Amino acid sequence: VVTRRGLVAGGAVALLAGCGEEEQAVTAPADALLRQLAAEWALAAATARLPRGAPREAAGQVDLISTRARARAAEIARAVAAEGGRPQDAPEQPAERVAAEEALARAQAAIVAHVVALPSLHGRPLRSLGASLVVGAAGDTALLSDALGMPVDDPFPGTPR
Amino acid sequence: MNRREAIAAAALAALVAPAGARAQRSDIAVLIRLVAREEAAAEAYGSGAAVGVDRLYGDELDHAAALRTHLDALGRRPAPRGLDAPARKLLEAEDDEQLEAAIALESSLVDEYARALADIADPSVLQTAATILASHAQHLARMRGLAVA
Repeated sequence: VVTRRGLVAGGAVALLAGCGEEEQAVTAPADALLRQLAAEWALAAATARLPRGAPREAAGQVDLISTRARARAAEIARAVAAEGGRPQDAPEQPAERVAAEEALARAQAAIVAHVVALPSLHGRPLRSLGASLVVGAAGDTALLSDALGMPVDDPFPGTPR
Repeated sequence: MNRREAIAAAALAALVAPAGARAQRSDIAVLIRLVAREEAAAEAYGSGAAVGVDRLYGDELDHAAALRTHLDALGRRPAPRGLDAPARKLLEAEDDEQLEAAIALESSLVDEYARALADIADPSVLQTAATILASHAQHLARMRGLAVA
């Protein structure tokens, strides 16, 4: 026999477990991942060519950073698809020759995108992916800023402004 | 509110409150662990370790202060715990071993924060921890760059 109390408690448990419509409306990992994907494609496009104003010797480092941004984008795209989203909603962007400041701004924006997404990434595998994206984007931002001669020095990179 | 809605609200509250308390306890435990790591790292860098990356000591102090702000809000003020193993190794390293010891310390901090992100419930604590993770990732990337240069 299922009592009224049991039914109510069961409904509450289902809601807490993320089965309720309200919970699903709040939680949209695929949407968060799409914003992360767009940020990495933007960084990859901005570093596909040596940015304007960048020292020539930065070319190798910039190229490596673009390659790693594309690799992170590919990983995010797989996660978007696994979450039922459409990676093509955040498509790869064509290479651009942007100013060095713009390239660095896009790198910093990628860290912000990964930090801001974390509360929407539920469960250990997605949080683990989120953490690895923060680490990758932050490390590359430091290396890019140094290569461009504009070293960033922030104890809390990725803080939304 | 009718009887059915009242029962539903009470049942939900009874379930949510323990879950919230559990999440808060988990966040407190993570914060205490991370504060100890930051304060140990600050002590190690503050001893004069020269590893070629600027502001390490100041960054660790800023991180510890930010984490302690969250703990204060949760009513907790843990006492300093002293050095952990990676920080002690850096503190005791000879000059030519300091960069390697600092890389090991930063690597352990990156791993610790990356694991912690899976356990943190409060969004504001999560954001603070994530930005500190980003900071340690930057320290580590720069140190590894110096090591191969």
